[in-house]
Amino acid sequence: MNAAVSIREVDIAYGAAKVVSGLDLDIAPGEFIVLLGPSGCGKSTLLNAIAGLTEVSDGEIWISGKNATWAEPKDRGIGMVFQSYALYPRMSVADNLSFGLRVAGLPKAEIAQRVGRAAEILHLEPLLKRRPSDLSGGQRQRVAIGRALVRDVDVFLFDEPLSNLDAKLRGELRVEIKRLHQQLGNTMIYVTHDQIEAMTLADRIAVMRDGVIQQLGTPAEIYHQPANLFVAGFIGSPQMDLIEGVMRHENGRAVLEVGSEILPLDKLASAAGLADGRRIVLGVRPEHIVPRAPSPHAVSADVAVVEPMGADTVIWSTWNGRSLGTRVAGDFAGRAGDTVSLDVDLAKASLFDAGTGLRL
Amino acid sequence: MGRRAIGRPWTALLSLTPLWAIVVLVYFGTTFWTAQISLTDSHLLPTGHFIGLGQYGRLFATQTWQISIQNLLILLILVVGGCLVLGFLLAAALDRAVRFENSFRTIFLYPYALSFVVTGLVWQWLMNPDLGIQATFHQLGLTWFVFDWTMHRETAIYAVALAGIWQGSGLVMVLMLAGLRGIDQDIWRAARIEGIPVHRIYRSIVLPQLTPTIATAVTILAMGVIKTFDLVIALTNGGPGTSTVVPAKFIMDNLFGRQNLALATAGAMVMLLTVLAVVVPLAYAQNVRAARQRNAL
Amino acid sequence: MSVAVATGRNPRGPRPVIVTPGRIGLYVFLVAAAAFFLLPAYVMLLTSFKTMDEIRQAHIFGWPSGLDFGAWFTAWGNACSGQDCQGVAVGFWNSVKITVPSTIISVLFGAFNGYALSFWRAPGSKVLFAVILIAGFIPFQVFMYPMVRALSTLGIYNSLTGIVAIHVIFSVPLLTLLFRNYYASIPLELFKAARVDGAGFWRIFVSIMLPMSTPMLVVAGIMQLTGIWNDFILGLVFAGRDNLPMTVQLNNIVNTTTGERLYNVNMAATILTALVPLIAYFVSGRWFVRGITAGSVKG
Repeated sequence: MNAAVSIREVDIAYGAAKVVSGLDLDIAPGEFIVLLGPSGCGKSTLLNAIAGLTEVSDGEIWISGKNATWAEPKDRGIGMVFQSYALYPRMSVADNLSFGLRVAGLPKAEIAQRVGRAAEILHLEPLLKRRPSDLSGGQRQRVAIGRALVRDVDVFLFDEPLSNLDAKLRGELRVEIKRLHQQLGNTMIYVTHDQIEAMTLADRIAVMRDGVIQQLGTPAEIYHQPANLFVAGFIGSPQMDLIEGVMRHENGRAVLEVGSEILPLDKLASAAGLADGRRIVLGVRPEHIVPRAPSPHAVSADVAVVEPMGADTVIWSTWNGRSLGTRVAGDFAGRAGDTVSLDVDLAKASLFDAGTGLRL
Repeated sequence: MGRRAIGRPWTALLSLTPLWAIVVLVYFGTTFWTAQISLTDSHLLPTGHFIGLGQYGRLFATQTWQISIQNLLILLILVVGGCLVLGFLLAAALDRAVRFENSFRTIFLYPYALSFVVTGLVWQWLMNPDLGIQATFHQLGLTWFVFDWTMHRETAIYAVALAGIWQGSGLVMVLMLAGLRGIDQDIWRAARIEGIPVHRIYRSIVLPQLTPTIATAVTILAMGVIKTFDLVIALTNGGPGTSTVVPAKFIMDNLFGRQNLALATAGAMVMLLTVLAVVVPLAYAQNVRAARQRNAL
Repeated sequence: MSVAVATGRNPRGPRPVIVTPGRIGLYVFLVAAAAFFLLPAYVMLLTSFKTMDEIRQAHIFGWPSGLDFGAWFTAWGNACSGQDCQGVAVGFWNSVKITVPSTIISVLFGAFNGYALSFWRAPGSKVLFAVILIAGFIPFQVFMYPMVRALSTLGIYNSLTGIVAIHVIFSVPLLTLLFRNYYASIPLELFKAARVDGAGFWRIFVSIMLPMSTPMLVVAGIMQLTGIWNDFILGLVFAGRDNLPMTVQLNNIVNTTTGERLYNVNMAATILTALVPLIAYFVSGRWFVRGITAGSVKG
């Protein structure tokens, strides 16, 4: 088994409530995997189970080729970074970094060497004598990472480490974490509810909901081929446009009947085999809907709200009683009340079953 | 606080008159009066005849007062120390997610709801050599067991200390428990991941964070010990002889019994100075810490 | 991993529960502590139901042969302190007469002052509050003689009015602190909105703040009830022979008897004295604890 971390048929329950059910996940060595999902989806619970802070009700957890299901956190070869940093408040940064090593009885020279290396990688040298209360949020988080780093472990666990920081700081530290991964090459398991963090940092993303992995794939796969309606709606900002309608075959062509309007689906390979009368949902990313000169293929919509964001502009328009979001270049000249002609790039669209939500 | 309250201050000022009256007349007034009397040679009634610090000299030359100060020091060390240790251990034990936590807590705290008189009488009964715990042990053949501290001059004060620890530990436990629950749970998790043993977590991480709580507990306990009167009256009434006299009892005896008004008031002023000596440094230290925290944010 | 080796099982699912020596030691400690704290109560209770013959046998932990309520009746109605043989019943009613008005008046007074200090910036309020806090540390003995003289002059020394006044005055620091801190946590916007609506000083207090203070009123009430009922020294000095509280009576009955001490009666009397605050403690539980933690926060 090559996996750095292997989760096998794991159930985690709090009392009577099952938080995670029958979860299987293999994480390759050196991989940066993100557990992404809304609050309560079980991602933090799963992370705590990998760390050994929470017990599993069933199943096994393997770390670095050994069954770690019953092992103490300190014996699992992991380091963990918490959302609240959890630094020891009455100790200096240097003492925070070295405390675990000192307690373990490592020789002073080795401790100094490890602390020095971590401080260098994370640019903590000027801060070593300070106390956590004298540090900014970003600095504290780096110390928290440093504490995991000195442990000389294979697997790093991150529990929403950037959630307590403001947007600008979050962006800076995100880049640092990615750089860190490139430099060290350790396996990293990262939990977040922020899809931007997931998209930018991950080699693979596991989108979770109610204790079940909805989709496991690269950021590109998740973005362009979402496995179900939940994933489609969760990833992407502004949200993917979802249009409900009925499958029809007219004159040998597959079309989507949406109320009184018709959308041709002949460019979508997956549409061909679908039965007539089936209720489906068409999903299109806002950047795949482009205002063009009126044409027979385009849909006509009324602009309701224009949100200029600088580099891009998001237009919210109403078509056939539905709200469509469109992402266009920042120099868009239209205003609310205008009528636009939107060309929908259906080749890049996704189809989902209206009842199950699954991708077709 | 920085609240800008609205409202015509006149009504408020008027309504605070009773409070101002109490502060000026009772707090300031009586303190000055007592201080003034302590500088005279009054016996039964105030004479108004100033003799400077003569009473204080006489006070500290009085053997009973010396014993009471000595006893006070013994009690301060034993009761404050004992309550801190026992209270902390109880709080730490209850914090370890044990079953029946509520029941244990109820048991540990109920002595605090009792009057010191009740406590004193009960422990007096337990330490009765003929009918108390010692007698029970002797009946079982364990004649080496001794528990009659209230009967002997050398050990009586330790009986008072024991009763004090019994009564006060629950209070410290409550304060410590609140302090422990205020520690970020993630710190415990981080320490567990680093493999730090439990006792070391308490020593190096938890206790330093509890310093404000400890300071508060010490203040409350010390105040209580300095005020000790009821417990001594009930447990030993100052005896055997004068071996368990405490300053409060000395003052009361001289004030009402022996008609040594000036001497008693001198003792009261000394008590006041002792209290301020304990409270002012602690309050100052807490102010400094609070200011430092405010600046750090 | 060592757990798997020890039990010889393949690790899967929850860890098998091994009772470690640490865990056992924890419970041993807690049970021992519980025994230490319960011991006096247990002994008291047992002794109060024994006859004097049984007591003389000195089996302090042993069960009484029968539940003899004789000591209890004596303690309540006949126990002697010196020449007076009326039991602690007199003291009980005295304590009620002292505690109820003292608690009500002191709590309301504390709420009122806390309100005035918290929301209304009258000149000198800050100084007043600081002085009150410091004054809370002054030992009773400093106040003793002057207050005796003052109450004498006013004609209320050794009277019920006098002892109630003393209790109210001496509880000012703690209660003012409690209520001022409590009101500090109420949003100022509420107060401002009431002012905009045209409510005045008294109206805001009575109609808005007081009803909102119920938790603190309960906490303060319980603290005062317990503290005043259990008081000894103030009652001894200021209440007067006709109004001696139960604690003073109890001490007189137990500690100033000539002849043989009736231990069962003494224990019954002691329990009776402890009963009211104990019941308040058991009934109020969490409120009691809140009182302790709230009172320990120094402004």
